[in-house]
Amino acid sequence: MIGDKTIPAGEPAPPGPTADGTASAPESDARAAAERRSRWTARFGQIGVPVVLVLLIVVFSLTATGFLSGSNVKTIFSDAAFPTIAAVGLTVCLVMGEFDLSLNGVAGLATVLVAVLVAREGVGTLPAIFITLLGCGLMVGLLNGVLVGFLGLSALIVTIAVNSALIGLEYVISDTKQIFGGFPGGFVSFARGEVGPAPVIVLLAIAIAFIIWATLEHTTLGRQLRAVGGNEEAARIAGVNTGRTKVWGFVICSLLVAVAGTLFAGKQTAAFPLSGLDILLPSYAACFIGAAAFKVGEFSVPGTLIGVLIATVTSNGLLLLGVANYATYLIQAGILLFALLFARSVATRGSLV
Amino acid sequence: MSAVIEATSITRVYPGVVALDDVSFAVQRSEIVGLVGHNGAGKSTLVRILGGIERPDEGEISVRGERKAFSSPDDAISAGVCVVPQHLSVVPILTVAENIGLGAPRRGVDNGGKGLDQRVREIAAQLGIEDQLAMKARDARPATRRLVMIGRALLRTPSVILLDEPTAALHPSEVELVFEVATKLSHDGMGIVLVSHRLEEVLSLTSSVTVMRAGRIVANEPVSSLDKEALGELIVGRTLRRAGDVKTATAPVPASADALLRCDRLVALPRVRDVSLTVRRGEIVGLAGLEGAGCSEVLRIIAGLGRPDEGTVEVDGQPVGRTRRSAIRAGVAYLPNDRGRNGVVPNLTVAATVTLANDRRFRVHPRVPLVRRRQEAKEVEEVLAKLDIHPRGAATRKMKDLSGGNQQKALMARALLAGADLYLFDEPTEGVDIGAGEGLHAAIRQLADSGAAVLVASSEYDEIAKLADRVVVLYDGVVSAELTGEDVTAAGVTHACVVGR
Repeated sequence: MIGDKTIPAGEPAPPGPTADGTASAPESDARAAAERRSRWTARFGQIGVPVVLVLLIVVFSLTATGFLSGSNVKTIFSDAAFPTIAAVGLTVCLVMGEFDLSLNGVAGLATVLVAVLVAREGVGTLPAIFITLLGCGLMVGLLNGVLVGFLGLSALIVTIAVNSALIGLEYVISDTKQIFGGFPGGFVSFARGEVGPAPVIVLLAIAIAFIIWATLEHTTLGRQLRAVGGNEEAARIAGVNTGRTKVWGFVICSLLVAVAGTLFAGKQTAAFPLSGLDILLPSYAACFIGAAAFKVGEFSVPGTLIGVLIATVTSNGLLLLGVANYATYLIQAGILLFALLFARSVATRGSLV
Repeated sequence: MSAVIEATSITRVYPGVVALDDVSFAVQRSEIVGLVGHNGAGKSTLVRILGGIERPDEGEISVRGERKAFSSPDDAISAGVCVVPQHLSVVPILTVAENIGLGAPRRGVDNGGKGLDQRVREIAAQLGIEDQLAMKARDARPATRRLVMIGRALLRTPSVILLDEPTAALHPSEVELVFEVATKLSHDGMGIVLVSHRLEEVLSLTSSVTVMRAGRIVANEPVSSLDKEALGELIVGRTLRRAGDVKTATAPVPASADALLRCDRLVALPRVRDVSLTVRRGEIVGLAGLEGAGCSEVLRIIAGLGRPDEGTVEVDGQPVGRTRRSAIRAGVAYLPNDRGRNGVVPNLTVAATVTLANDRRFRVHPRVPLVRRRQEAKEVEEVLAKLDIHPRGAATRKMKDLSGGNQQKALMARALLAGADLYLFDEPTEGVDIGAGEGLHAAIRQLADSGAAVLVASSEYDEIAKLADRVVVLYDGVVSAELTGEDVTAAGVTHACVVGR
């Protein structure tokens, strides 16, 4: 029995609470207070992590000069764009209960591949992007998905192996030479461009986050992904094609990471093996901080966005305060562990109180 | 005589719900008290509070006359109060002995100077499982696994143990093993609380019964003054309809009618050795047998979840595929047993659970997989209301927030909505209270009346006798008997299952 939290309408109806949960008079004060207390706990558990974000913003705006200036806010959002796109992709994977450790490989190969295509081979911008997303996103996602979903291999090991293979491909494709310059203007101005005051990549990140959120919340695929993550055997018995669902999850994840990698090439106008986006840790940090944010233990797109913002705001604020760059690694690790501890304490209290 | 444990005026409030309302409860030395009630009546909350897992908002607990305030299960255990939870936490790859000793204090407390191994052996002897100590838990029989959990509690030398649904996952034939131990422990002076849905068991084992309803205690009677009917009425708060009401008054389905389901010489070792059976449209067939006789396995194979080594399954003359999805396409709806493992996705809403792989008619357009959630919730709510789920608005709640009985009803709703030709139910009323069980039975009967074929497996022989037009009895993986007409009685089914013919 999961918990006797509901009152069945036995006959005759018991005095006191009615079946829909509203309490009728007379009600003892202690009982009302207890009820208030537990409601407050439930709500606090849900808003704890967003409060941390607000606190960070308040602290930095008081201590770091120029933190709230227009240009710095724009910097924060641009810095958050790449991790957002990748972390939202990873969220899909985590929602369905699997890990993808090939993020850096996918992003790195996408950067190198699109750079080789446009700068060295002279392929048009759009075909190059198309080939990159197809090759790095779709194909890698399919590979991961089929190996994990249909052949039942462990995602942890499969994606580490695939990551290694992708790094190898980065060297093969780039011929171990740096690609620098020769990027077509359209590609660069898209990655660096702005629409009004907003950078294009920020708008793109917001659009992607919205689409993925809607997919998870409102579509058949979304709830099947969540079902597979929640109880795979139950999903299978219900008639969900769990293998295909996993392929979809891995494909969405790889595709979005490849999008981030491709844009990164346009923004840097340079590419070299192993010097692409390092998004593995930031993405996982964002997702797990996010899982502590709203519904404890559940990965969600809004949670992940909060997670990305917390990490970005922290490193930006510390930079303004003159803290050395390398310290951000330590601080990111600290924030991630803190968020996990926080989520754990809220979760345990919820069941104990 | 002072009570080994006494709770006075306990009140516990969850957001929006009063789970326990001024509840007082006591257990004496050597007494076995039954604790019964509806799903959501407050039994589990009371057990959790007595065991220190939750704290009461009001009221106090005393153990052997001494007032206590438990702030954790450990506090309760050191005071001599142990809860044996409903769900097993046995580690399959460890031995029975290792499982009993799991989590025991490393030093001192109650080992009486003896090593842990020796204490474990003593306890195993007390439980009658000393010959199985070296066996891996995954190979042990279900009753042994349950006894391991009790043994783990005994290692802490409790003066009272609370058994939460100790027989829920056990077959009737194994229940006796657990009850012998409980009786023995009570003779040694221990107080025992038995939480159970199985009224016969409560009546046969306990000396007094406490009945809860909607967070209150509505009766506290010596067992000698009760029978099953009276107890059922106390739990439900209304008169039970007589068994047999569910069956149709119409003539039985003619034997000449074509079989919709035809299983031919199914073999799936080790459990299923030779099973052939047919189910016709409009007919409810019961599948009965002792634990391990192969009933669940046969249902799983028909549902497309297990691969038979030999034999065929045909629905409407067509072979059913080897995956769950192909069976669904062939028109086979299936309610699995063990809902925690096979049915419930904790974080999904009830509505999403019901429509999980069957949401086409709630989509914006059949080919556009966007779900119209409001309409979906509304329609699911209507089905749930028929199955008596409380409170209202359950469709938008998450499965994990529902009581076990309500989860079962939600999964039942999914099976009912499948629009299938053949319905398979494995333990359809597992963990569901009596009143609601009747509602589920009526719903199953309605399916058959509307022309579907139904196959029901249950270890509750009453349930089989009440529902089925015909009963196929399995014994050790082989069809050993078939009961029809007036032979379909609880006694007849029990006899056939035990005797095997």
